[in-house]
Amino acid sequence: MSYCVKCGVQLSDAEKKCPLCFTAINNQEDTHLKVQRPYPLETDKIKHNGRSIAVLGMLTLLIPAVICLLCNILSSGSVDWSLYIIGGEACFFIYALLPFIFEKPRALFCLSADLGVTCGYLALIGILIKDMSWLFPLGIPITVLSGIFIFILIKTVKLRQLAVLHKLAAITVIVGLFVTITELLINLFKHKSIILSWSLYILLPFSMIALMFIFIESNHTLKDKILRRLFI
Amino acid sequence: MYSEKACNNLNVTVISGESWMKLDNAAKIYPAAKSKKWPGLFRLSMELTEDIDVDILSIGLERTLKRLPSFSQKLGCGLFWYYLEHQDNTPPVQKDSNNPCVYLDTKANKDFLFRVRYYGRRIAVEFFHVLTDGTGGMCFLKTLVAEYLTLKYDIGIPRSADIIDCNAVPIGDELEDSFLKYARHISKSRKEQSAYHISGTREEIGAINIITGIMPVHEISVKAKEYSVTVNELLTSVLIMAIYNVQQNEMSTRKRKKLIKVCVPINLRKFYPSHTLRNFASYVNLGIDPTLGQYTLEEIIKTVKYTMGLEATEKMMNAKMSTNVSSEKNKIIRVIPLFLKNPLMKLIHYLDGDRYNSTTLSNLGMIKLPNEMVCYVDRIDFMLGAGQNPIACSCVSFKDTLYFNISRTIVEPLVEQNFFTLLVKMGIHIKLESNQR
Repeated sequence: MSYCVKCGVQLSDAEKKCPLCFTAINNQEDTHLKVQRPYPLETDKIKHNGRSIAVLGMLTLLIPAVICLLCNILSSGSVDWSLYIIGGEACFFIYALLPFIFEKPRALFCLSADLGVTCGYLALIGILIKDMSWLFPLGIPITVLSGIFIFILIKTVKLRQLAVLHKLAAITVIVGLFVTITELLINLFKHKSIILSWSLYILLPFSMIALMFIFIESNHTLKDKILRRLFI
Repeated sequence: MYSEKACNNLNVTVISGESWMKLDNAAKIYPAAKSKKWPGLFRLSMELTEDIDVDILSIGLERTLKRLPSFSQKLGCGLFWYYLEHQDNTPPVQKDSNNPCVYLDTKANKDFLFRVRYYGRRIAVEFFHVLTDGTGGMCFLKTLVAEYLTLKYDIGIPRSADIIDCNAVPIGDELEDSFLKYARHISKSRKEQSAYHISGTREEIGAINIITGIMPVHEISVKAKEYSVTVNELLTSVLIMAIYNVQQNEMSTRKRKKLIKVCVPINLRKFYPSHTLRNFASYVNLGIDPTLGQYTLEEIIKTVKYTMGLEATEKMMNAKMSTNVSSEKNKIIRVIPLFLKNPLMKLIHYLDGDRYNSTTLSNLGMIKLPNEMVCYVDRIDFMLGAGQNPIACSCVSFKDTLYFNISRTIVEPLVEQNFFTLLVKMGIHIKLESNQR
C-alpha cells in the first residue's frame, strides 16, 4: 500500500508515481510489476487524414501546372512564363498544405520549409529575368529575416508565463526591429549606406508603446484605472 | 428486428424489411459535431471476479443486441437529417486500450455506434452519444453482463426494467423519442454568460489521461449530510472549488474573472414515466462568479444547493427541452439540406457547444444489481470522453464505493490535484489509479 507524500492520496499498486504531482514512489518492493495495470499499454491509433488532404491538394495544383506547362511549350516552344506559375504553386503547397502532413504541429520544420521554398522561388525569378544581383544582398536576407522574426513572434505568443501586456510589448519591439533591419538591408543594397530614415518613424513610437505596456503591467493601480475606464 | 408494437411507435419505420429511426432531439447535433478532437463518446464498464471469456462475451452481445435493437444501428445520411438504420450483424469484441473514449472509427467497427471491449476481468462498452445516454447505456451493460454471467455460470438472474430479458421481444417504449413526447409549447432562451475554460498544454489527438479516485460512499455521504446536501451537490461544489483554485493562478486577468460553471446532466426519466433507452437527459449549469469576491467551499456548496433546487425542476427542464424541440421542428431548419446544415451545426457546436461550462460532471448514482449478480461483479466504472473542454468528470457508486473518473486532454493535472487533495483534507480516504504508463 503506497501513499503520495505530497498529495496524501493512496495509490493503486500499479502506479509507479503519483498521477497528480508525479512524485515517484519509494517502495521497497516493486509491487507495480506484479499487479495488473488498470489499463493495457496498447493504445488506439487514430487515423490521421491530413496526408490525404495534402495529396488531394497537390493533385489539384498539378492540373493548372500541367496545363500551363503544355500551353507554354505549344505556344513558344520553350519553358519560361509557366515556371512562375509552377513555382507559385509549389510555394502554395509548402505554405498551406505541408502542415497537414504532420500529426503534431511542427512549426520550426514548416517555417524552415517555407523559407527554403521562398528562397528557391526568388532564385527562380532571378534566373528567369537573368538578373541575380538583388538576390543575395536583398532577397534572401529579407526572407530569412522574416522567417526568424515570425519564429520569435510564435514563440513569444505561446509563452504562457508572460503577461498579456508583456507579450504585446515584445511583439511591438519585434515588429519595430524587423522594419528597421529591413530598411537597413534595402539601404545597403541601394545606396551602400547604413543611414536609417523612415523605419525610425516606426521603431521609435513602437519602442515607446512597448515601454508603456511594460510600465502599465508593472503598475497595478494604473492598470486598474485604465481597466475601469475602458471596460466594455 | 423490431416487433410490430415497436414499429407502431412514431419513430420507427419499416420499409421493405429495413427499419430505421429518426435521431432523437439530443442526438441531432452529435454526428455533425463529431471529430477526432470531440469524439462524443462515454464509457461504462464492469469488472467481474474472473477473466473475461471472449467467445462467451460475443454470444452474450449477439443475444443482447437482438433484444435491444436501438443499439444495433448505423448512421445513415438523409437529404435533410441523419437517421439510424438497423443492422442485423454484431460488432467485433475488441481488446481494451490505454486511451479509451477516443474517436470511434465506425468503418472499422462494422458501422456500429458503440464498441465492446475487454481487458482482464473487465467488460467495457463505449457508446457514441447519438445512441443513448448514461441510463440507457447502463441498462445495455447490465443486460450484456447478465447474459454473459448466465451463459458462463449457468445461473438465473432475475430480469427487470434495467436488466432486460433477452428472450422477450423489444417493446416500443424503449425506442421512443421522449423529448418529442413530453415537450410543451414553451421556450426559454439558451443564452448564458460564457464560462472559464481550463488552460494547459494540449495532448496530441488521440491521447487521453485518466485518473480514477476510489472513495468509500459512507465517508462522502457523512460529509454531504454535514453540509445538508446530496453527494452529487457536494462533489460538484468541490470540483468548482478545485477549478476556482486553478483559475485564480491564471496570468490573464480576463480569465480570472470568468464564471466557473460545471454542467451537471439531469436524467429526465425521474420527471416523466419514460422507459426509453435512447437519450433523455438535460443539464443544469452550476457555478460561481469570481468577480463577486473570494469564495469559500461553504459558500460554493450553498450556491450549488440552491441553484440546483431552482434549476433542476420539471418546469425548468421542460422549458429547456421544449426549446430544443421547437428548434428541431422549425420549418426553415428542417428544409435546409444536410450538406449545408452539417457545417452549420458543426460551427454552432464549435462556438457554443462547451462555451457555457468549464467542465461536465455526470453522476450515475448508486448502481444496484440483483443478489444473483452482485457476487460476480467487483466494480463499475463510468467515464466521459473529454472534448473541447479539456476535462470531463463522471462518477458512479457500487457496493459502498464511489468511483470518480476524470479524463483529461491536457498535460497538466492541476484540477485533479486540487480536487482530490481537497477531498483528502475533508477527511475522505482516496485511492487513485490512472492510465499513466
